Amino acid sequence: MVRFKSRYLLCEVSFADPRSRQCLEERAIFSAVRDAIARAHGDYGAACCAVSFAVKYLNAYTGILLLRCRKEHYRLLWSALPFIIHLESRGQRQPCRISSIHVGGTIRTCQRFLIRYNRQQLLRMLPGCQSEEERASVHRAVLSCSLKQLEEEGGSRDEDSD
Amino acid sequence: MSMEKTSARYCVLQSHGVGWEGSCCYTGSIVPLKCVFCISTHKDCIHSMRRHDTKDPETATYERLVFRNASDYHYMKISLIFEGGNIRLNAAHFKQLIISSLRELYGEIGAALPFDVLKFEENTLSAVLRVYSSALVRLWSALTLLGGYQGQPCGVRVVQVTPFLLALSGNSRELKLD
Repeated sequence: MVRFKSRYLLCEVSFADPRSRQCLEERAIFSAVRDAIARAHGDYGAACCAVSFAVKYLNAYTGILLLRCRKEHYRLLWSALPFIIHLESRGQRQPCRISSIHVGGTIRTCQRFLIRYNRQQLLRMLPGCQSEEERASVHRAVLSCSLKQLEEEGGSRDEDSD
Repeated sequence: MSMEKTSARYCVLQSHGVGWEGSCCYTGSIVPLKCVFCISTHKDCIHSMRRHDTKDPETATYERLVFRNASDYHYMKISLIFEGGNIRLNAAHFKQLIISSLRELYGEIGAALPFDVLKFEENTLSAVLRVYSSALVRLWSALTLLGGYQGQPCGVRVVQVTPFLLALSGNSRELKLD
């Protein structure tokens, strides 16, 4: 059974000034990553990663990014991410930094990791809350993110992971 | 990795009472037999072919060392060929040419490939390069795809590739038998 296996890189985009986060676009990230791979790994790297490269998910509020590439060449993509210095969108260049937080074989495993990661981040934000309402909303957010709902529906469909 | 010379005697299982023992067809002594397929002396093994390992009493034990990687470095003897005209290069330009070809094919990370130009002759434009064995394929492919130097098309002919420097001293193609 021959199947194309892929690796999903969960990354976090952090900006110098937080306001420019709303201008995140998938096309800007796509071209920036592709150019970075071409610069860092040349024609060979550009060809390897261009076959099955896609930006699967982008969340402008939290800066979470999910990239997909082939399983044989995910290291090329991974090593080219630190070379991205700025993103171009609507004619503006914004300095940014992309760091990868997780590598998974399927979108589902990345999703599970993201839920745990978000919960940790929320708990980390708790001491810095100024008022009681913020505290209460953070409490509610932590309690609402749970893996139970995912595990109910995803129990029998885990044959994708490699 | 050193291996002692052992030989295996295959004995078809003989009904020999209890246990899986048989008589060695070479020496005749009773030895425990192991199954050929599941390598077990278990009674419940259903296979019927057994063997036991025995040392040949005649040959002395000797050591045989087997290496998977011949050497850390690989040495390439190449010659640069231009279409026409007399192009003068010195060793630094030559190395820069190879690095630019590596950069085109493998990017900045490929251009940082550590390799050395051990010898460069300006008259014949031939050189001896040394590269780590793990990077040989990358360097060779970059040499293959070398396009030109300062607008002049050129190519690289790889004369010899060897993991041992001593092999570069002789080449059977250039041997003159008189």
